[in-house]
Formats: sequence, structure tokens, C-alpha cells
Amino acid sequence: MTTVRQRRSETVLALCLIAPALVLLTVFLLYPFFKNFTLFLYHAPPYPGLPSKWAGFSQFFDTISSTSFLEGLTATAIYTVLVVPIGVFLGLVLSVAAHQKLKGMAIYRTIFATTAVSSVAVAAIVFGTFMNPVLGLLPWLGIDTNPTILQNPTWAIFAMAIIGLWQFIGLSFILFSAGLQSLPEEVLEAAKLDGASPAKAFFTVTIPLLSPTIFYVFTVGVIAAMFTFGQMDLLIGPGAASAVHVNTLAYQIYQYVVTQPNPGVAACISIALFILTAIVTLANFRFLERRVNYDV
Amino acid sequence: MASVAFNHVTKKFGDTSVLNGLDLEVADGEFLVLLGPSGCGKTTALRMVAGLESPTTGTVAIGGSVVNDVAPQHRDVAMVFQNYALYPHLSVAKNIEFPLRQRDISADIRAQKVRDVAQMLGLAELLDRKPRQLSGGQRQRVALARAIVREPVCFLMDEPLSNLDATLRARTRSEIVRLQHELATTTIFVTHDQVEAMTMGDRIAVLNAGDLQQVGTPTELFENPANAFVAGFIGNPGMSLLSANASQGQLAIGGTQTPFSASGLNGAVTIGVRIDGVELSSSGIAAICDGVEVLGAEVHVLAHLGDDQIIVRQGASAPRPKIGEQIFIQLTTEPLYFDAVTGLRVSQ
Repeated sequence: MTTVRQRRSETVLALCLIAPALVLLTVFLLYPFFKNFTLFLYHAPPYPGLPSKWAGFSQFFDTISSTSFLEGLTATAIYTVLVVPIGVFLGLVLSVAAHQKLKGMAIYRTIFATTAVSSVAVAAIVFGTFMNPVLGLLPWLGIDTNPTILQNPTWAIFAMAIIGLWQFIGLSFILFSAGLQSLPEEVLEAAKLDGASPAKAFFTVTIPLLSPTIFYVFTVGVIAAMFTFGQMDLLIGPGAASAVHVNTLAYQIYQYVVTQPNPGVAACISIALFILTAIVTLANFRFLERRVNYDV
Repeated sequence: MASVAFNHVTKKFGDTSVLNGLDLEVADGEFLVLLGPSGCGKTTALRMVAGLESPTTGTVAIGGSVVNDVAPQHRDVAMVFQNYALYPHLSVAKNIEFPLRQRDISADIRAQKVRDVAQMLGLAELLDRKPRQLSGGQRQRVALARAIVREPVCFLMDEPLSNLDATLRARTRSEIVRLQHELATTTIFVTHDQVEAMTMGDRIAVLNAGDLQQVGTPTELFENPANAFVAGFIGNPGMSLLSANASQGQLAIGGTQTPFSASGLNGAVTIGVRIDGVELSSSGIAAICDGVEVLGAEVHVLAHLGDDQIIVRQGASAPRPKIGEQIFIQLTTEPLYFDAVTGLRVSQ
């Protein structure tokens, strides 16, 4: 009897403890996630308040075969390819440099990590000023700013990638720094004593031991890059000459929700983006995780 | 192979002084044990030979050449770490081969050397395994193999047995001694375990609080400790150190006269008594029993006289005193005498 009562009170306590997280998860994650699947099956009504019209899967297939979706897919892919590998590489290089026991390293560490905690609005203002055709650095460096880099169909996506890279390097730096600090010091010392040069020790010992962190940073970076749209909206916007080249899928979702509301299409693109992200992440696990060493 | 020399080496970490002017020479081919309690500076001294720490002042020399500015990878010393420090992502074979790969040694010779060393240490069956698939003892042997395979001028061993169980530790101890004799490579072995030091070293250097206390063979340290610290640290159990008083050719402990004269000494003195130089008796020096340790063939009675502790041996069948009971002891051999203030040995 006591056991039954005890078990019941433990269950109540467990539910109470889980409740806050469960509520947050339901409101902000589960409900929107499943709501999305109902939205994508209906055409949005032309005016609010009118009934939605059943579309089935046709709306989804129309959306993903549209030119704008393919442009968005291209922009998203270019952006991700530009930001993630370079961000992983530079984050690793900077964290290794800052890991050296030299004077003043704490200042460098703080500087490198700051970009991770700067909002995209701040990043957009800073880089928007740099890239300003009158006030910015580009004319001073002798770079043709007519059309401006943000309006230039070829270069606009690179400008967006530089901003994304600047932010991602901070996160990558912090994660690699934590990874480096958790490496067993004795193993690195053993490599030195075994005659390995610093470069050889880095590639044959540090990198394999750091491979779980590298894999994690890469995977998180890919996911984050595929959902980027902040700087595109803040610096370029939908009407610009370069707009179609920076209209990432996430930015298209934003536009179909906020500026030209069409929840049905927004839901279709978001599901397509969800599927794409899942495929890329699974591919990462399938092909990259094989090379990861979890033995420490 | 090469000699190793510390010349007035000091080491400070911030304001904390870890080594205070260490002067020590390790002969070519010698097995020297650096012995001392935790924090005495022994590991720091070892890491200086490896090049993993730099002296604050003084020099470290290997084979007669000062190596203060030589990087660890160019010192040609091999180190066995307390936690083995194996490369977790590499197989046993690749771990052993790692130091050879850093040199211009052909693949055939590398493979041959790995096979030979693995054979020597009984690792031939384990070459394809990863470190996580090995027991503590096996990992230890891989660490030794990795050190041996490159034939360095000096082996540095930092408490390599401390993670092994008692049986394995005793076996590995004799295995290391056998290998060192076979290879005749200069070896510096750090430990806080005086049994390891006594059983393994050609000589032992005892350190305490950054100061070198004494260097000598195990027998020298056991029989002629230079100070009270060495006397208390060496031996199993170490010497019991008691406050005594020497006056007019008579040695008294706690007001009780002993049969010893302590000739030439006067006033307060610390005496050192080995366990076989004292026995329980029906009268003599009064002490209070703190406990009894049964070790099988013999029993150790732990007691205190004021602030001093003493250990007395008793036969296994003798009646055992109870904790808190008053017992009497008497000295059966002349004790060693140490200065009551400095702890240094005083000769009569």
C-alpha cells in the first residue's frame, strides 16, 4: 500500500518537474511543427477570414518546382558552402592559436568569441557600413562599387556569407577552444616526447582527438547556415537587384509569412527545408562520422 | 644512453617555490628513484628533464650538454606517464610505432622493432587492439613498449605503477627492473611509494618540500638516514621519531631512563627507532595504545607518547593491548639521534 502511494507521489513529482519543459516544448516546437503539416495541405485564402481551400500535395510540388524555390535553394547552398567549411577551418586555427600559453591571450580569446554573441542586426550594421559605397572601405580599397556590392547579383551572396562567417567563427572558436581544453594534456606531451614536431603532433594526435568537436561544429554550422536570412533582410530586402541571388529558403519563408503572407506556401518551403536539412544532417552522420574518433 | 645532471635547479610557479636549488647527478645506465611525498617537486624535476617544464634558474644537462633550451622532441628521452598517455585513436601496434614514425626509419625496420618489443613485453597478441580494449596492466606495458622501442638515452617514469592493483604492481616492478638491467638505459623513476623505491632503485634521491634530503643506495638510506624526514620516510614502517632528553650520559624518554648513554649529547634530542629496536615490556617507557594491525605472522601495535607516534612489533600469539590501554615499551638497540630543531642527524 505504502509502495503504491509512494510510487504515485513520485509520479506526480516527476510530472511536476517535467511540466515546464513539456509546456514550452509543446507550445513552441510540437504545435508549430504539426500545424505546419496541416498548413501545407491548404491554399491560403485570398483574404483573411475566408475558408482555406484543400490543396493536397499539389501545392507542395508546385512550390518546390518553382523558379524562386530553385533560386532559393541555390542561394542557400552557396551560402552554406561558403560559410561552414571556412568557418570551421578559421575557428579551429584561431582556437589553436589562442590555446598557446602566451601573455594577453585572454584578450584575444574574448575578441574572437565576441562575434558569437553579437546579434545579426549588429553584424549587419557593422558590415553594412563597411560595404557602404560612400562611407565604407570598398571604394577606399579601390573596389568598384557601382553597382554596390549589396546590389551586385554576383557578389551580394558573398557579402552575406562574410557576415555569416564573421558570426559563425565566434561559435566555432568557442566550441573548439572548449574541445582543446578537454584534450588529455599527457597525450599531447607524449607526442612531443615521442619526437613529433608541433605540426605533426597537431595532425596526427590533436585533430583525431578533436574530431568529435569538428564533426559537431560542422553539423551545427550546416544546420544554422541553412536557416539564415537575417542579414539578407536587413541589408538587401526583397526589392533589390540582387534579391533573387540572396533569397535563401529561410528568407522566402519569412517573406511568405510577414511581407506577402501566404501561409500555405511558407509551410511548403519550410517542410522542404526541413527535409533538406534532415538529408544533409543524415549524410553528415553517414559519411563524416565514420572518421570521428570517440576514444579518449 | 647518457648521464643526467641537475645543477642548482630551482622552479617557481608564481610565488610558489617547488624546487629549491636541486643538485643531483644520475650516472649513465643508473636506475635512480626520485622519492618523496605529494607536492615535494619530484614530478616537476622529472618534467624538466623531459623538457615539459623549464627551470626558473639552474641547468639540466643530458649527456653532459645543457638542454634548458632544447625542445622535448629533440632531447631523445622517453617518458612513461602515470595515466599511460596512450594515443586512444591508434592501435597498440601504431602506438608503439608512433615514435619510430617521427624518425626516418623504414617501414620494414619499424615493423620489426614493434614485433620485437611486443614480444619482449608479451603484447604480440594485442597489437591490433585499441587502448580502450586493454586492462590497466596491458596499457602500462604498451606505454613501456612505446618508450623502449625508440632506444632513447634516458627513460623517465612518472609513478607508472600507481594505477595498478597490488599484485600487478609487484610483478610490473620486477619486470621494469629486469628490462632496465637488460637495456642498461639511464632511468629516472618518480614515486611516493618507498617500497617501490627500495626495491627498484640503484640509488634513491629523497625530496621533501622542494629540497633534496639525501641521495644514496637503499641500504644507505635505511641504515644511515641523514635526517629525521628520511628516517621516517624510508622503511616499512618508517622509523618512529620520539622526543627525548640527553643529560649527564643518560637518555630519557618521557622522564623514563633508557639503558643508552647518548654520550656527547646534551638537552633535547629526537631519536629514531626502527620497529626491530623496540619491544613491549612489563615496565619501561609508558605509552597509550592507539590500535593494533594484524599482518599475519606478526602484529604491529600503534601507540603514542605525548605527540609522538611509535610502532612496536608483537608476536602473533601474544595478548593484544586494547585501544586506550597503557602499555610499556623499551628500546633494545641504540637509537639514531637527530637534532630536535633541524632534524639533522647528530653524531655522538
